[in-house]
Amino acid sequence: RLRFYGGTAIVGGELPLAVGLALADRMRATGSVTAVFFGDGAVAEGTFHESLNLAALWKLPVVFLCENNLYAMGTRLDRHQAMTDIHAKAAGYGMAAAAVDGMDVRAMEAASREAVESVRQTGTPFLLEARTYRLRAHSMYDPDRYRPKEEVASWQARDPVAGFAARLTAEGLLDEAAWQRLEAEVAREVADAVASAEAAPREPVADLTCDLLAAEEAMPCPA
Amino acid sequence: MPRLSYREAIREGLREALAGDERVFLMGEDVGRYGGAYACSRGLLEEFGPDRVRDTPLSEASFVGAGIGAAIAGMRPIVEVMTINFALLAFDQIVNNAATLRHMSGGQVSVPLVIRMATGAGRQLAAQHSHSLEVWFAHVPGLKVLCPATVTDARLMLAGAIADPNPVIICEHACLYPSEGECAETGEGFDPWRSVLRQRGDAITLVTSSGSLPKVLDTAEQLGREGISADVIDLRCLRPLDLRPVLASVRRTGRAVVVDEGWQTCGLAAEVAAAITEQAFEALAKPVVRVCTAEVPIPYAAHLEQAALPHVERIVTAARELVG
Repeated sequence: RLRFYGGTAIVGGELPLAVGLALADRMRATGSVTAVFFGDGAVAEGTFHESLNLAALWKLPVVFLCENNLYAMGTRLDRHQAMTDIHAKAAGYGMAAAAVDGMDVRAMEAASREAVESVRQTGTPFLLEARTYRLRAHSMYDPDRYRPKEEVASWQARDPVAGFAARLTAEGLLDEAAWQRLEAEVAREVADAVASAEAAPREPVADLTCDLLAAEEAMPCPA
Repeated sequence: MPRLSYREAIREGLREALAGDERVFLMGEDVGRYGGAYACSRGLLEEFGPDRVRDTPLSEASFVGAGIGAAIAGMRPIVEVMTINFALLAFDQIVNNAATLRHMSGGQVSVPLVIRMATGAGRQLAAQHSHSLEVWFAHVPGLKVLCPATVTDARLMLAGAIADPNPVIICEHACLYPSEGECAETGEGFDPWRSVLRQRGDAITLVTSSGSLPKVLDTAEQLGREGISADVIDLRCLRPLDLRPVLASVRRTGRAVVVDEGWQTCGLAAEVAAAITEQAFEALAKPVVRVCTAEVPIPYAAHLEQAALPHVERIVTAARELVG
């Protein structure tokens, strides 16, 4: 209903899906734009290049948004890409592109808006590269031994949430009390979501085969 | 009923699908201007235009993935992959996305997609254009797999696949494209998902599908001349696999040969044989016999290719030994 299609756990696997969603929109003239998000690691996958080519060839309304956090899990960008300027790769497909400071909330918002506007006005796709960083480890199992602590610290100093709050405060748009209130609201929302999930009943085992195939053919699903 | 080739029957099926539902479109390598690598879509670009008959780049992963995306958005794409060997480049999209998204999303996402591809050997196209990998798809929950072996199935299975809200793979045997036969025109009473008894006998059960069906029918004819009457069962749909006619037949004959152009190890014939031993063991007079392709990449040289594939002589020999 919200047209949010989640992600795939196969890096690069979502790019062709976005091309297909946009193809359906183009064929039905809905005027919608599809945005697809992926990391710098996905740029090494064939589907990145195939999807950019297909979207440009067929003039499809897609914003390809690469969150370049400099590491494909543990492999630094310059150790997996011969050419590290990701947004420049769009030129190979005749596609408009830009890079933006992904740690700057306002710049990110403006660049995203411009990318969507470009797609709407030209009817052709756009590659936006957001230069950012992963402030924590890749997962709970990641000892984070592949990047210097000083590098992590230097990016932590540019934390986009803290940085945006500081700018709003400096501009008189946010005071300490309002900031504390916002922090508390968000913390409560997260805590409520966790509590709600943990309190919810587990899915019945009888539902195991539900939704494997469309309803009329699936095993009967308990109401 | 008109007499059509398998290729013409597919073309009729495609034309009917495109004419019958504006959400249907066809895309794939050379389906438009070239007319399809096997000429199945010749004339459709002129009839339906480039928006609905789309030539794609050689990007199997992405145009199959785009088909999945368009299906999710409510279209009814028919994606043609030139051969099943090339479909391996799209295996990730088919197995990790098309087959999983409904289950992973708790039923929120539907993938009403049809993927057609040529399969099989016999035309001296060598290993990388000749393998029969249907069973790889048939292994995956969330997919359906159809193998038309007759012109009627070639035409009407397509309509059944389009009407189905699940991802359906249709494997067309490359050797069958020029074959001709009577073609039914309406789908009344037509069920693409069931195995069919193609010939009735009582001494032995011959189970097969796809491009091996004509060979098995020839086998049955030869056996008939020797006084051995055979049931011939065409599996037609490899997933969901309808084994009821197989079990019913084996309960009458007590003997079964399963013929499959795939490799024997972990293959379709193994699945059928296992189901027979699990569910009709008491009826078996002798162990089930499998006739499959030799466990090598399909060779180019004609005599080696034929030696690798199931052929009438091998099937007849296997059947004789079982009955004797």
